[in-house]
Amino acid sequence: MNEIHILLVEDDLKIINFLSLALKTSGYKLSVASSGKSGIMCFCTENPNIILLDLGMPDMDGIDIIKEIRKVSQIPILIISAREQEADKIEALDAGANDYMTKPFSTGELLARIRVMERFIERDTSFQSNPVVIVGDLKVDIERHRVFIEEEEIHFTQMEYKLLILLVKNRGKVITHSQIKKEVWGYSETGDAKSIRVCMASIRRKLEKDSINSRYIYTEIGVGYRFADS
Amino acid sequence: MKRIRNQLTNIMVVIFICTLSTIISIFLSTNGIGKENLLMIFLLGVLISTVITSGYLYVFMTSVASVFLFNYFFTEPLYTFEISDRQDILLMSFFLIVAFVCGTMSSKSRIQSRKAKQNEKIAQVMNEITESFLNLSGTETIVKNGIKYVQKLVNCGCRVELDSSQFENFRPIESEDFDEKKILNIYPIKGISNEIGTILLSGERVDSENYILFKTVMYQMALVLDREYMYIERERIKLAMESEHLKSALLRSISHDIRTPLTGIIGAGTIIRDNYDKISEEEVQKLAGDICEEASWLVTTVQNILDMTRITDGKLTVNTEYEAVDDLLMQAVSRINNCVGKERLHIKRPDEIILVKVDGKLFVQVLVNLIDNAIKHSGTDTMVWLLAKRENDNVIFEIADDGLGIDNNIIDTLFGSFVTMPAHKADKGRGTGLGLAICHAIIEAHLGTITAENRKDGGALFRISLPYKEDNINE
Repeated sequence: MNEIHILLVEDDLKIINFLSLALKTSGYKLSVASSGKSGIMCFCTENPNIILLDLGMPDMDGIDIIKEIRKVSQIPILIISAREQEADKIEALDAGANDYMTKPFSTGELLARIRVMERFIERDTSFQSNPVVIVGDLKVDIERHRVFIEEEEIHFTQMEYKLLILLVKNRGKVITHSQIKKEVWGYSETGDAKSIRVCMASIRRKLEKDSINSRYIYTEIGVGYRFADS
Repeated sequence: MKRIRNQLTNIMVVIFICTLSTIISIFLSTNGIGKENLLMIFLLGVLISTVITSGYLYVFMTSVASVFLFNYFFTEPLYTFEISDRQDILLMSFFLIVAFVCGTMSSKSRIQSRKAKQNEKIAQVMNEITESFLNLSGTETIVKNGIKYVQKLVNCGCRVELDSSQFENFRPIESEDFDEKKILNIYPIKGISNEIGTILLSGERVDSENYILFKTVMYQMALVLDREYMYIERERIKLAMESEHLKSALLRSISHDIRTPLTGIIGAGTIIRDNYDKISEEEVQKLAGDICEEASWLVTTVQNILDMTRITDGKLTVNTEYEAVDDLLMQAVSRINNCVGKERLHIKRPDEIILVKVDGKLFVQVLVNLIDNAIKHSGTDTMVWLLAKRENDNVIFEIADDGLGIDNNIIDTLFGSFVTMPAHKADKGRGTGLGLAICHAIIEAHLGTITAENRKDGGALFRISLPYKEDNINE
């Protein structure tokens, strides 16, 4: 893959200053837009690979920007916002954002998340041909419906498997509870908050036998889950 | 319908009395009694009719009918309506006058006594209404009592709405027979200073007599609601003062702690900007490191302050949702991961999957605060354990360490105010003392308990207990 082009949509000058310094020193090509409208304009004309988006734009709400972009593209969108309420995160993620970072954050964390986005782009192009996902010791064979840890097969119930596959297919991206409900349970009433929690905890216990330190599945309390990317 | 039946009964009575008087008179006249005395029988009939029937009309009817009957049966020529004797005319005229006067008088006295009875009844009911409101408290009880009386006395459907700015949590109450399509009238409930709410009546009509009673109910209700409002207002002010007090105490205790790191950040920043070429790279790095450290400490503090702003009415409001204990532990640990000393933390998760109803974010905050405290304040080479388990109807979280333990002087007031631990002088970490106060408020808002004690074999033990419902997995 060539040089990664990042579009930063942010209205605070100080943040732009330090982010552009950090991103340029890490070898990314950067465009900056300081309003929602010019952000969408830049997205259309400059064809970036990743968008970093601040939700609080002076001219339009970030959620609307996500929706506009999602109409035409599946480009990875990483939200950087000072809004820290779960409801805000869920709204942005449900609108189609890939990940969400709350200000303040460290540059290291930001770069790590951007690397996840990069892999997301690469995967997007190669996914169809290779339906076996390997993350650490975990191997998920999506085509044959089989999951292995260190070559040992692990068995899941149907719901657990569906949920796991949803997370694995979207690894690196936060999947909200409502997305899980919609994708795994359909719209039936059984997919309530409790069943999701129980199902998730049981998957996790099967994958991560002894340790509470999560290697594969990360919880965003009150928001959703994210599957590790590497 | 009822009136027609009433009229019919009265007419029947009139006919009956006239017939009876005639029969008795015929019987007496065959025994040779004179017609002046017979007229007395008819007069008696008229008097009886004033007592039994209601209204002048029937007395008048009885009198006239009696005269005609007397004329027909007993005056010469007999069995005609003609009168040949002048004396008879005089007799019958006097009869009519006497009958009318008697009838009117007795009828009047009857009406008066009926009115007196009615007034007494109204007075009694009013008294009952007043008494029933006297000892009531609670907006809903008062309104329900009012509705009960309106229904009973006025025979109308009724709905009470109160001003939402005064009675915040009050939802309109209505009687079962209230029908929105048949609204009769809307009455304001007037308090001392302003309108408290409205009463809506539905139904056919309200009699003037019942209207008085209805108004009594309304005034009484207004009076008692006013009293209730003042009570609520007083409580609200008290709560607001308490929570204001709590907030300001918190803010006072942290404002100092915010200034210190800010001074550090500004200082270091200024030095780097102004003396960049004079100081060594090493020093710049050290200063930048200090800035990062101070800033991240500020972040935690700001988070704590934000949590405090959620305190309303003297307590924290929580949005609870079922969360897996595994998730909570994991989230807490991942937050700790950035801290120094995380390798000293050991975790034991429960044997089963437990769901517990908590505000995930706040609860994790509690765990993080406690773990952070344990790591920072127990000493340098201590172990910290975090474990969760179920005990009967409770889910227990324990954070324990094998360090210095809690100073006995502060153990009782640990959660109460803003206690910082003076126990360990070597401790370089900065403490706001805010952590435990927040933990306590959060756990209380979850209807749980948090306790602190010293372990027998050394070290501190913090124990959180949350209520657990057995059926919450299989529900």
